[in-house]
Amino acid sequence: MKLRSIFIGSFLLFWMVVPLSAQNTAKDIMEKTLNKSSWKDMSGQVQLILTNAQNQQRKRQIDMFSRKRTATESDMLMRFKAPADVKGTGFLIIENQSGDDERYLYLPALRRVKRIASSGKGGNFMSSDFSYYDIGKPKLQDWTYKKLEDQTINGHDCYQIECLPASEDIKKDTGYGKVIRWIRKDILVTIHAEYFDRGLRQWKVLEVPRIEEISGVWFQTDMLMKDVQNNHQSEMKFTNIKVNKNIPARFFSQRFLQRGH
Amino acid sequence: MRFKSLLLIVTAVFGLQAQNTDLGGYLKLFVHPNLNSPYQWEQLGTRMQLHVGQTLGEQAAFYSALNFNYDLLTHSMQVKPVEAYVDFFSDFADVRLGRQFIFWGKTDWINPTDNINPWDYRNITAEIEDYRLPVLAAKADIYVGDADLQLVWLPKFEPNRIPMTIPDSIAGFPVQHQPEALPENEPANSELGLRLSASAFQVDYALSYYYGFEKNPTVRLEMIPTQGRFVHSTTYGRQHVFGFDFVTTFDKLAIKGEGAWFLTSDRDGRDIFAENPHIQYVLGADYVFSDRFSLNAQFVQTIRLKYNRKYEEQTRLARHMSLDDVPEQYVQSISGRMQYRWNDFLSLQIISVLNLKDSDYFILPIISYAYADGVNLYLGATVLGGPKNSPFGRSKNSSRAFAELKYSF
Repeated sequence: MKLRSIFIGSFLLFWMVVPLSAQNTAKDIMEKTLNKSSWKDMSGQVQLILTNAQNQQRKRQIDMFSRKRTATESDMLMRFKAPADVKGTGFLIIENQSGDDERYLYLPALRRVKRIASSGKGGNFMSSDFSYYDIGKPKLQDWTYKKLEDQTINGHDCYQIECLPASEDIKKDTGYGKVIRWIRKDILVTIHAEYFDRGLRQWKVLEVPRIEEISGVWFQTDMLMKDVQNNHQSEMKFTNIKVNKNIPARFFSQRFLQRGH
Repeated sequence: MRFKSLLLIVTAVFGLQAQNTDLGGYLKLFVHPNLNSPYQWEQLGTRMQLHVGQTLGEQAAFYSALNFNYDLLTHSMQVKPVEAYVDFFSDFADVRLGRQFIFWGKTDWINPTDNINPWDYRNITAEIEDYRLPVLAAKADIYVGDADLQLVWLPKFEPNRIPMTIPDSIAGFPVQHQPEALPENEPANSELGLRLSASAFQVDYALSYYYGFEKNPTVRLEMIPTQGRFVHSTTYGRQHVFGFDFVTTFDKLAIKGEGAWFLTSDRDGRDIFAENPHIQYVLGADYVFSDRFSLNAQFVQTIRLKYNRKYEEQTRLARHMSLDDVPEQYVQSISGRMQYRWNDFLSLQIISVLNLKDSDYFILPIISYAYADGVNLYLGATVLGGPKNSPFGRSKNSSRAFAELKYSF
């Protein structure tokens, strides 16, 4: 009887422990992936190419500056350099852990900085297929993780991690019901991802054709996001990336946003 | 003319010589048919704007923009400076000297605290440079922490440009037009502005003060019975404007407000032609429904101080004037802005203002089509309407459509 109890107890413990440990593994991988970057600030140039279903393209050239203000909060300042009709447009995002992010837009045509309401983390970044959530650093606790079968993508061994929103708020805010990431085992960088809407229909697919190590930090320097529902795609190509150049905190302000240079 | 020539030379020299010089501009073709007489062009022409900017390290910068306007209706060419200024930067202050735009306030379209750059109400189009006029000014921003103290000095007053026609005769009596009495060009007539901007508890706010001239003129049209004629004169009085504005955001919602107390030259409200001291405020909200669709709605109220309706009416009657245009003490308006983006190429914006008393209105719809990167087509209209004596109804003959093709380089 005692043996039987021990057996049943062990059996139950096994089934309790196995899923937990699998979840922990997936979470560990994500935690390492999210926390591996070592940059405090970075700058670079981005070419943003928007392509619609008719293969018509719009191209944007943007200077981008970012710094980590705290472990969980970042500031980002962007300035459009081309095309000429949007040149000088600036955008400043100040992330706040305790409240809403502050977003400021400088339109040279209006000659003033406007504080703007956001369309949420799920809102499109610069009218592209990338959302603000996609270009930011996800918060580990916002998702629950499950490790799926490892796969090889473009010759690289990858972990396959399924991420589910931890709450209805996260689901609503990001617009995602599920995200599956393929993370390279050797450098812990996402090289492929699939995003599903709240109805769990496939929505977007991320491809990362180029990854570069710059000053010891791995960057996805070419990212292609395809909206498979709307047959639209956006590509972000980064060049001239510089890290840890001690960009002063005052640079991420309305003052520098409107200075334009 | 000398100033324009100098700007041209400076623009050319900086444009050709400097390596860290940014040269750009646009070419625009435009046609503005009048909506009340469709066979008449209000404007038909081309504009080339050339601008040049140059940075001198982290300490200074230069910017100049010149418009070359060719009017196809009169076959005349006009060179017009838009902006021309020099910036000086330091750790704690930025200084800008020259012809520039300085916009204050946080609400949309109607800004009680925004009294520095005049409006050109005769030329409202898709572009702010068409309907706001740059001013010669010295501006200094002093930064202390997150606060910005802005000091502005304007040596010369520039009034609003208003579509206004006073006939040469009224009821058979001639009207004698006196020249517009602008303040003399002297230091005593310069204008000053002061604005302190800061943020606290996720609210951006500013306190402002402006000491200058009323942007809209005091228009007197008086019958001189002994001479059997009317006399029309236009003057500008001094005013103090004390303002406050704020904005904060909650997720997809932005709440904004702005108000100002105008202490006009008619301090005691005894001049029936001049604007009484008054308070004007705007309260509104933006809501971002999606990346494609956003709305702004605002309530605007003007409260005339030192107001005495009986006095206004009696004085008018004594002068044989109509009582139709006796101002109200409380004037309410609502305004709205809607933006919708269909796709990467096509978008629509509609701006509107409705005065609640007379239901007179102003509507500015603009469709933008991006033909290619840097090439945009704008189609729109400036529609004014309402009863004859209402603020917008008076100007309804100025309603017009516009089509503009702009190539930016």
